[in-house]
Order: sequence, then C-alpha cells, then structure tokens
Amino acid sequence: MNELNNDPPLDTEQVCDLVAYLDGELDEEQTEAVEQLLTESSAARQEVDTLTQTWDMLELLPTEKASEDFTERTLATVRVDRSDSAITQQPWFRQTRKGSVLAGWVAGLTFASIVGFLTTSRWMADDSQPLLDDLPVIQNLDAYTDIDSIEFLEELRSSGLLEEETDDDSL
Amino acid sequence: MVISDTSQFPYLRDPDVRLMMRAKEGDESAFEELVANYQNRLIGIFHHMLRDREAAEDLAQDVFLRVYRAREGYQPTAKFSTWLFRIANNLASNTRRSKGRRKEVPFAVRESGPLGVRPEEQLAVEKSALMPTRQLNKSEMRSVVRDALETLGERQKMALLLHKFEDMSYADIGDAMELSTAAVK
Repeated sequence: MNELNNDPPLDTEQVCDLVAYLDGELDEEQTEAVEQLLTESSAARQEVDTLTQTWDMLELLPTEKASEDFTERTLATVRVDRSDSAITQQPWFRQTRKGSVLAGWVAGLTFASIVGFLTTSRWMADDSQPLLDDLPVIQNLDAYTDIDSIEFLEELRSSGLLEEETDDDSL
Repeated sequence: MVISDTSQFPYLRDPDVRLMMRAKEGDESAFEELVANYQNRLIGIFHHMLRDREAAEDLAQDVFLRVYRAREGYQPTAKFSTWLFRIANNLASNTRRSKGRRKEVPFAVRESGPLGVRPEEQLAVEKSALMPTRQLNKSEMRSVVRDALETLGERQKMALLLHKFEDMSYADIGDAMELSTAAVK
C-alpha cells in the first residue's frame, strides 16, 4: 500500500489507455508507452489488475438463449409482413388506394363547400335584405322627401286621396 | 446487380454477409440461417440492456423484421454483425426514447476516470462490504455485476456488451453506434 500511495494518481487519459491496452486497441507506440507506465507505476499495475478482474466478472452474466419457438415466430412474422407488403405492391392496390385518396378529397371538399354555404346563408347577415325590405320607401324617396311631416301623410291617407292617385297611376 | 467482387466489396468474405446477399436474392433459408446465428446474441444484448426477457425477444424480432425489409437495398459495406447491431442500437435508442427510460450517465471526469463511478469500483465497494466474513457466492456475484452494469448509461452499456460478448473492436462499435472511435474508447 505504501508503494501505491507514493505513486501519483492516474489521470483520465492514462486509465483510458490502460483499458484500450487490455482491449488490444493501441498501436505499437501507444502500447510501448503503456508498458513503460506499467513498469514504473504500481498504481497502473493495480488498475490493470482491477480492470482485468472486472472484465472477467462479466463472464458471470448469464448467457441468454432464445425461446424454442423464437425462430419460427420470427419467420412467421416476416412471412406475414411480406404478404402484406406484396399486396400493397400490386398495381391494382396502388391504383385503388390512389382512387380512394382522390375520392376522399373530392368528398371532403364537397362536404366542406355545402357546410360553408349553409352556414353563410343561414347564419350570416344578408346585406341586400334590408334594401329589399325598404324598396317601397326607396322608390318613393323623392316624394317622401318633399313632404315635411308624418301628420300630413296621415291626413292624405285618411282623405283617400293617396289611393285615388295610386289608382290613377296604375291606370 | 450481382455483387461478387471481393476486391471491391471486401466484406463479402464475411460468411454472414454472403448469407445476407443470398437472402437479398430471395433465398429464405439464408435468412433463416441468419436468424438462427444471431437470435441468442441479440436477445442476450437486449436482455442485459433492458433486464426484461419478453421485451428483449420482441426487440430482437423487430430487428430481424427490419433486416428482412431492408434486404432488397442491402449493400455489403460493413461486416454483417456491425450492420445488424447498428439496427439493434437504433431500435434500442428509439425504444428508450419512447419509454423515457433512465438517462445517460454523463462522462464526468473525476478520479475514478472518464466513466464516473466505474463498475469495478462499484463492485469493489459492494464486495468489501461483505468481506471478509464470507465470500460472495456465484448468484450474489452475478447480481452485483448486474447492478454494476446498471450504473452505466445505455450507450456505455451497449458499447461494453458489444465489446465483451460480440468481441467487436472499437472501430466496429463506433460504426454500429455511430460514434467516433475516441468516444468508444
């Protein structure tokens, strides 16, 4: 332990190099550098021992095996997928799908148009309706403008003169 | 296009690549052979990742389905295992994201090294807590190793498992996980 304590701690790069050294992933020059470090540093040697033991401990993890019917199930899934994709690759299927999409768009647009028309005609205010309602007044606006008061009009109506003139006009 | 030139496509020397090329040509038995060759390996990796046997089999099946779907466009530009585990890694990442599982352990630099509290230190702590009164038996040790593995982030775990159980090089792991070799190291 005393020997360990006297060694400077390994830095990150050195630890990475030790791992890569054990994994056989260093080039010749890097390998020589690590081997030099190992001869000089007991901390590095200790680290290598720990890493090796840890690596070996991974062997304790259980080896998994597929369930007995896994291959069969997988191949069955692939066959189903293949037949599905075979149908979707048929020209008639593609044409039908294109036609369906087009028909869907046409139906959607038609429906939207009808809904739009009904909405605007039923609930939206019609600007021309008040004009139609006031048409008799508008047609006689000049005459009404010449008459100063409602009372005078009432008198004309009660005297029957207005009906006669109207009758004359109609003649 | 028939690809048979090993000088242009060096990975054609890989027997599994050749099986995949046969599967590409419509040979169902070649695909079946690939499933048989890799099913235990994939399920093993996924099981260690997820600790869920059923989910591991489902994911492995999904990987094979993707391989099958991709067969027509397959090009032998890597070892088959590298290509397969790239698909597996992507699938595992997607599953992880969709389930919002555990977060990646940051690569914090401290005395313990680039991986934070390292599995061997975790093991050493747990081991020292029980010793010298008795030695850990095998199942306890296995449990300790599993727990230590759980301290790793998902990518670290995947890289470790690929290296340990698939004997993949840093370069192949980097290729499969779309990481630089330095990042794998």
